[in-house]
Amino acid sequence: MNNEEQITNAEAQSALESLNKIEKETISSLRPPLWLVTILSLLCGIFTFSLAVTEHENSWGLVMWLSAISVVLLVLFTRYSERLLGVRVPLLPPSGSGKVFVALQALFFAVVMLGGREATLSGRPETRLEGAFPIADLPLAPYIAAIIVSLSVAYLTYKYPTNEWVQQDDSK
Amino acid sequence: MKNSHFNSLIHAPNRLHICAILSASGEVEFKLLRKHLNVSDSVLSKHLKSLEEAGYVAPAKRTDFGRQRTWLSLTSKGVDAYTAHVKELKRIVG
Repeated sequence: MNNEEQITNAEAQSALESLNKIEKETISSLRPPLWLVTILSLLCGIFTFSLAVTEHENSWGLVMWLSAISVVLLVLFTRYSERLLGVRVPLLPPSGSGKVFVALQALFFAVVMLGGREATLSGRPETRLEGAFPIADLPLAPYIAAIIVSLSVAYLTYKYPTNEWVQQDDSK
Repeated sequence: MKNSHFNSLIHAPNRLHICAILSASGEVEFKLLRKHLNVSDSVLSKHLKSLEEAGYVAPAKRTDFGRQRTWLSLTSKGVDAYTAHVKELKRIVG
């Protein structure tokens, strides 16, 4: 129902400021507690690290599965507590910008996690293909990937708890 | 100033707040929405009714934890209308 209306610049400005305030309040009310954000980000970091260093003959595979299960349980717990409070955050946001935001996050995490594993494997002489140039001879690759994932998860969970792309202009 | 995407139905303060909350959080329970807006049940119901009639809000009654709860969410038409309205406000502000 689109009606043509007359609206002044000041009225529009006031409405936008009010919207910005409401969106910020909504997001802060849905923000998980800091302890949960910290545990979730640490678990994601541990998962990334173990994914990068896991091999048949070591036990990092077990750590990888345990951390993955813990992340899933923690996410389920968060969603359950949100539901008790009266909010159901959809897995995929309804808006187009939200969907793009989630897709970019998935791509980013996939690149960092798989990149961390590939860089770790490529850095090992025993797994490097014969004659291949050691482009990623980085002993710190799993640590770097884990830190990137951990910090990104903490930032995104804290700033965008609903997965919806909401511009958070702090100047207003 | 004529505004082609300006939506007078959404622009009313409480309805604008309802759309903002629903667009930021997905599905919200009636009671929580009423608490956020600080209005009575009847006032909120009236605003929701007009948004529902326009096809912007979809209510869903579900039994959770043994009690009936009304959940509200924006429809895709509602998301589009709200997004277009906010864009229009931004265009007016310049």
